[in-house]
Amino acid sequence: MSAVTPQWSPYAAVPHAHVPRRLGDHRVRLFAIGAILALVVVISAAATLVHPTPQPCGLYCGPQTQAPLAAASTYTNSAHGFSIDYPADRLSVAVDKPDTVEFHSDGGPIQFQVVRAASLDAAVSQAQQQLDGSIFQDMQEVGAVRGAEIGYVPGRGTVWSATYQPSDGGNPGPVRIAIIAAQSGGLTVVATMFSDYDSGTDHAPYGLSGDATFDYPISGFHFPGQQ
Amino acid sequence: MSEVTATQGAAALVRCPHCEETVPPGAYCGSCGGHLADAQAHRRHSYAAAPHERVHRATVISTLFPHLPHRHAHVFREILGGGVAVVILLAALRLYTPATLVAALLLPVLYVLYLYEVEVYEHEPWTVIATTFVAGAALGTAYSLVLSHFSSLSLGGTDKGALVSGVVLPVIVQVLMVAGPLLLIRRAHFDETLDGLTFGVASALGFTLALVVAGEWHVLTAALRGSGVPADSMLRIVRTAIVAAVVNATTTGLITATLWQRWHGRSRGRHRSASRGLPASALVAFLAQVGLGLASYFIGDLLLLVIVWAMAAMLLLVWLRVVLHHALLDEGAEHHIGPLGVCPECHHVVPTMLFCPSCGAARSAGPKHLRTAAAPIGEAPA
Repeated sequence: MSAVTPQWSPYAAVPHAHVPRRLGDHRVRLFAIGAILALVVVISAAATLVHPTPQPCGLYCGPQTQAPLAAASTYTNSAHGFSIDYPADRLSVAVDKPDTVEFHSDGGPIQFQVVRAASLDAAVSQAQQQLDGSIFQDMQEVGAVRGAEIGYVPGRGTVWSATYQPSDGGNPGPVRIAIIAAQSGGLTVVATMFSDYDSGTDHAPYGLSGDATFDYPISGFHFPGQQ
Repeated sequence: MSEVTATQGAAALVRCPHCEETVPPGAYCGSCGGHLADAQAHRRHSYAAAPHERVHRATVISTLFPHLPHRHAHVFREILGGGVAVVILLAALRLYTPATLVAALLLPVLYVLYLYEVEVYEHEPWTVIATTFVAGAALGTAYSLVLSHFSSLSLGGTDKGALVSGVVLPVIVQVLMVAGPLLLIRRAHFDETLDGLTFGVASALGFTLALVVAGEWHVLTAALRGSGVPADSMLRIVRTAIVAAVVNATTTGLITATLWQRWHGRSRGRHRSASRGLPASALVAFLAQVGLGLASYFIGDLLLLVIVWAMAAMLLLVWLRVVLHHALLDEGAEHHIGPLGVCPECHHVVPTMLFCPSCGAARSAGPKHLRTAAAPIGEAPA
């Protein structure tokens, strides 16, 4: 008996072909590619079938009724002196900072921010660049917001499409982002809002499903000294 | 010590310097797996499930598919590499739907083929598939649906805050991925550490597949050719479908492997360490999930996020290999020199022991259907 160990193998080897396998290399490749292709087709077909499509009702449609508007609440920013009327039953103040107020709603968030910028276009561009690229992915410009205004003060606005990737691991989805800037009395305000993408151009011309919700605080924005 | 039968015809037996057992000659001790010429019993140069690889190496196939002999592993490695290349190519061509699906299906399909190839499920294939893949996929779908119900849009990416997004939700995900395999823990014939690993990995892959398909449903229902930025989509798909699958499989496999090792009590106590036990492994797994959850919450740059996830995946793979390596060295019954048989790893005709005396591969890391393969007539040790 010895403690010395040989470095060579004292055992004979059998040809590799003699060792049984359940699947050969070719079969593994074939089954893997075939299974992936088949499942891609099956899941794609299921997605197409399950995809909800709008059902036009034409003449049979009744009028869309909604609950009457509740009395508006007013948010007042003491640092800059602006105020915002908003429907308290649909919007709630989620962030309140000297330069920023953000409302949340079922349709999506809208944020008003006081900024310094050389022009309204620069303010819009600046706000777009501030958006987190990992949350708003694949961002692409859709076009300008025609007749953009905040509190009936004419401004500039742009809409972008993006894929919203929640940072809490939630489900991503396509969204539309609108950014509008306006200036009055030396105060430049940028409104940033986004909501799920809605392809219905009749009621969501820029593809924002929550645009009806956003209209209220944008129209109800009062620059300092404005009634 | 067991007796050596005349049929083995082995040359003079040697004494292993690590376990002190009298074992057949070779490069490795057939009883403890130690390198006979080396004073160190840990054999860090030679991973117990794939002896031609170092232990500290971040590879997906030999870590998550440990039963595959290395002569078969290259096909799986080729398909995995080719699949990732196809995903990148499809994303570059803006074909996001097929890119997402190929990425999501790549590892799960390979794993099902692996289960069949090495027959880990023994005589209960449907039970194993149902409690691992199917249970994982069902829980993943349910989690995705519930989460979407409680999610609302926010400019910050979530309105739940760092605690919920980065800590609570990742912990829930990890618990759900471990749930399915627990149904198999009482089965006496699934008593090996690698059984636990396999069930955990399968459950995690099913869970991740469901998360990707349910979460990316809007991509699957969109036009075949997308309009987004290819680089962004490519990074998103690779992270959520491939890197996350590896991370989830590794953390879940880490927990279930050490859980199996403790539950079935197969440890011989030679390589036991608190840093590789169940509490430490569970801690590492949950900390990794929480750390990556917080990284996803706080890191704004998509490329940086992918790099962080990929580095975490590599570190976790190395950690899992270290745990598996020592578990394999530690696991086994009493010392016994059995009849001659072909080693599934090196194909040498060797005495059937816990480890192949020739290549050092753990016998429990070989395909189950090959463990009882008899040696060809006339083959005997030289």
